[in-house]
Amino acid sequence: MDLTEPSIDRLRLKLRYKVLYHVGHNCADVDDLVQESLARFFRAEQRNQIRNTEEFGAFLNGVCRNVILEYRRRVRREPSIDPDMPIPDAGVRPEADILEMRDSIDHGLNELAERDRLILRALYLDGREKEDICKQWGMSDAQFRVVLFRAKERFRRVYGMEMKRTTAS
Amino acid sequence: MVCKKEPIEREQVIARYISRSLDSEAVEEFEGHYLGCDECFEEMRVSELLAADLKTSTLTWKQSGGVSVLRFKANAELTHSAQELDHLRKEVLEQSDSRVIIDLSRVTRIDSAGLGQLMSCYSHLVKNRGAMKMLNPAPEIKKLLDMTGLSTLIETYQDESEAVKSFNN
Repeated sequence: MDLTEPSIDRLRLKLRYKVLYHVGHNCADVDDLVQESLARFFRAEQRNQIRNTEEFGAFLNGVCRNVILEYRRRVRREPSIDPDMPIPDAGVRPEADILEMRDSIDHGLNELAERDRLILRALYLDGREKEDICKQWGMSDAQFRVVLFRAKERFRRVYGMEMKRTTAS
Repeated sequence: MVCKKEPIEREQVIARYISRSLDSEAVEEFEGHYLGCDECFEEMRVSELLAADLKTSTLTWKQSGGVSVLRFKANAELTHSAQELDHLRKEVLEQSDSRVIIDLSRVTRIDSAGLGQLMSCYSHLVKNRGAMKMLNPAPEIKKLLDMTGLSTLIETYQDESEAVKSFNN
């Protein structure tokens, strides 16, 4: 298993995303939960407890899930002293994380045709099936693919910037 | 495994994960996968950026002196059926910024739903110890705001720097 500094940073980033997805952006203990998950994962790795190191994601996911569950139980058991302290529950969308980089999102969809925008909205925001969308707009699979991947391409640059920002911090 | 799927199928899993419409078992499976797969994690983050931009596609956002300035990208109507109204609601009510300026220079029409939405935004921000100001309404919009008394409640400015400064008074 690759445990070099860059790959650990990458794992930390992914775990942070998962934790935020479940506990919400208002939770003050996100970094502690990420760190605890990583620490338990490395301990298990040192003790050779990970059976399939090629497929370690599922193991790490289980570790992180347990850390989040334990945290939720603890928060519910111990009423907070500060009444304003948020109690994590179902979590908020991780898109809150994206607010920090709104400046760099740079509205990559500006030049997109209205039809393409509606198609993408149907997929990402309305949660509609591809078949349903293709039928409504009279498109083939190939045309749908073009719309989708052309739009995503515009955001790869933003993602690259996000990675640089994360690595720098 | 997600990345062994056909690209559009994978994108559908990602879209459902982002919109939180995957069942808990599928969420577990996907998280277990992306924790170990850089490619799928990157695809998800790029899709998330795209989805975030779709949500705010009619509004631009910038920070100016610690204040959020929201501006419509094109001529906009704040009317019952307009998507701009929905975007404004999401941008103000669902985000954590509490000091907000809404630039009305590109708003060409407001109906009772639009006025109601401006009031809701104002009340929400005040409840959260913040404030809202309006900027640059066109003469006919200004007249409407005066007639309805909204401009006596929500301060209106012609100059952005003045509006930003007013938050510190």
